[in-house]
Amino acid sequence: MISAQGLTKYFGRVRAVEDVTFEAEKGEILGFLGPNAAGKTTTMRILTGYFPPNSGEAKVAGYDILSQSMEVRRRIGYLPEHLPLYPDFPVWAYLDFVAAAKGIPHGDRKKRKEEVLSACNLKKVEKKLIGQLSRGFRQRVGLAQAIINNPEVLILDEPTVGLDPQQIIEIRNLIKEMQGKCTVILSTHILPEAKATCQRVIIINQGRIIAVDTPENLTARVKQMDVVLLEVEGPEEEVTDVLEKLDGVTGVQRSPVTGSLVAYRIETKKGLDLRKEIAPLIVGKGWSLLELRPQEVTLEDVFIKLVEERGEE
Amino acid sequence: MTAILRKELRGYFSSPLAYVLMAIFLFILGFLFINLMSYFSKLSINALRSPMYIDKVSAGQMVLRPLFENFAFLFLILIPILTMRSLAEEKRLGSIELLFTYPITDFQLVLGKFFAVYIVGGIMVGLSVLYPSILSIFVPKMEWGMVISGYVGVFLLLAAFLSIGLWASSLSDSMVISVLAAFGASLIFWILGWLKQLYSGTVFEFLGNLGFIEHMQNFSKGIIDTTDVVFFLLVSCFFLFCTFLTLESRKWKG
Repeated sequence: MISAQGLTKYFGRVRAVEDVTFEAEKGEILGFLGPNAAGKTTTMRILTGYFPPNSGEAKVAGYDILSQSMEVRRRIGYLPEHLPLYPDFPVWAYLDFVAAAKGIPHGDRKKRKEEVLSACNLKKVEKKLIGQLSRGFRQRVGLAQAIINNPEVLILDEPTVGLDPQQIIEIRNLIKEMQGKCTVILSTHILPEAKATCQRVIIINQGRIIAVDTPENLTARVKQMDVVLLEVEGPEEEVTDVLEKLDGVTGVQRSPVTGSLVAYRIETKKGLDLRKEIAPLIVGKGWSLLELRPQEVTLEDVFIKLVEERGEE
Repeated sequence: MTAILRKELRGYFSSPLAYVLMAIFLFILGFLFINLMSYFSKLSINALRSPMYIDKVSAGQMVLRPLFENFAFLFLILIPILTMRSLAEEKRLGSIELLFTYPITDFQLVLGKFFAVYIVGGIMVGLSVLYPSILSIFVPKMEWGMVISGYVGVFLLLAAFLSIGLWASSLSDSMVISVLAAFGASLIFWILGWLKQLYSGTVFEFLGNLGFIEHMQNFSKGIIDTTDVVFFLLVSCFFLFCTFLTLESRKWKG
């Protein structure tokens, strides 16, 4: 559904993206993960036809972004990062304009408008001016304009930025509902968002792709050890000594919590779960065990690790 | 293009700007008309006392001609304000990024914006027909041919001013810059006409021929000269093309 080959874009002498190559399958939700100024927005703008790349080529929904730009535009929905809506327009009038601008036949516009108003939970505010809406509702209007033409490809640039936690969940759920219906490319610098929403993630940094895989596989690639976290009330030195002597433990770090309660971070060899041995050992010594849990390797760890690796190269 | 046109018209008529500009335009034009009428009536009374002057007192020459020539001054002041939001606001809001991803060409976008603001300006000018209509009540032999040619000229002049304003609006996301650029560019076309009167030489002759006032004079006299028609159409097309190029520049600017 999307095929990008060697996309490179310069702004003056500044390289925004270089040799960006990836593919996205039909119905897939693909995350573009990277820090600010990594090249996510530039890549998305190239795909939407906003500006051309200096080199490379891309096809969206089977059409070339340069020579068949109008065909591409008919088949995409785009939500830029900084919600560019008209504050003086009521929601219905704005969607009416977008439907017309996107070339939806006059007879179908009302039906499509009703469908997106309903899908984005905008029915109760359809007559309100966009400028009077909360940030969450405005984001939904932005999403509604993107999907009003039933796009084959939906491109969302930081769709949850600036939203409160409840609004983030609502927007994520709306995006997840798109899965299978259209291909979604979603850019974010929030790592849990990529994990919660995307089937595959592209990690991009300084304009270059540094990894493409599922969140699970990316996590596994980085996971070279397991970490167990525990909180124990007991003599700090003795507890540390006991934990360090356990087979498979490669390191113990401690940090006081309150009073005699201390948190320990135990690093073990990969695939070794020591929780069954730690619990009876601590209790048997007469110390109080308040917490014992494995620490998951997050996408954040993956991201930092990959960026560090690239930096070293 | 019609989607952009309809959206623009909605934008103009849902804000007070268009109404305020129309009111100012009609008020100032009305003020000028009353003054011209007052002068004309005084001369008409004098002419009745001296019948030898009766043929020299013409409503067309004494009211309509200066009235049409003053349209240019009003456009110079008001049109930059009318066009300032056209593209500058899209840039300020960032909505231009979305427009560039809709299946609309940059050319259609420019034409949609232009025709919308031309309709608003056209309504403004159209309402001014009130003044020649009032004049016709008092003048037994109204020179309607002069009125028609005058309005043909005014509508062509309007297109030229609006295309300059639209181009100025495409230059930045600031409405203040848009107004100043439109005013500055329009003023150049205003003062170019003076060059021919002040200096001699081929260059000054050529530059002087680019003045808006020069080309308005025939229309206000009741003459529709194809040279003047083509001039205003060329200026309009040139600035619309410049607007198109400014929008397209995002594709090749590094």
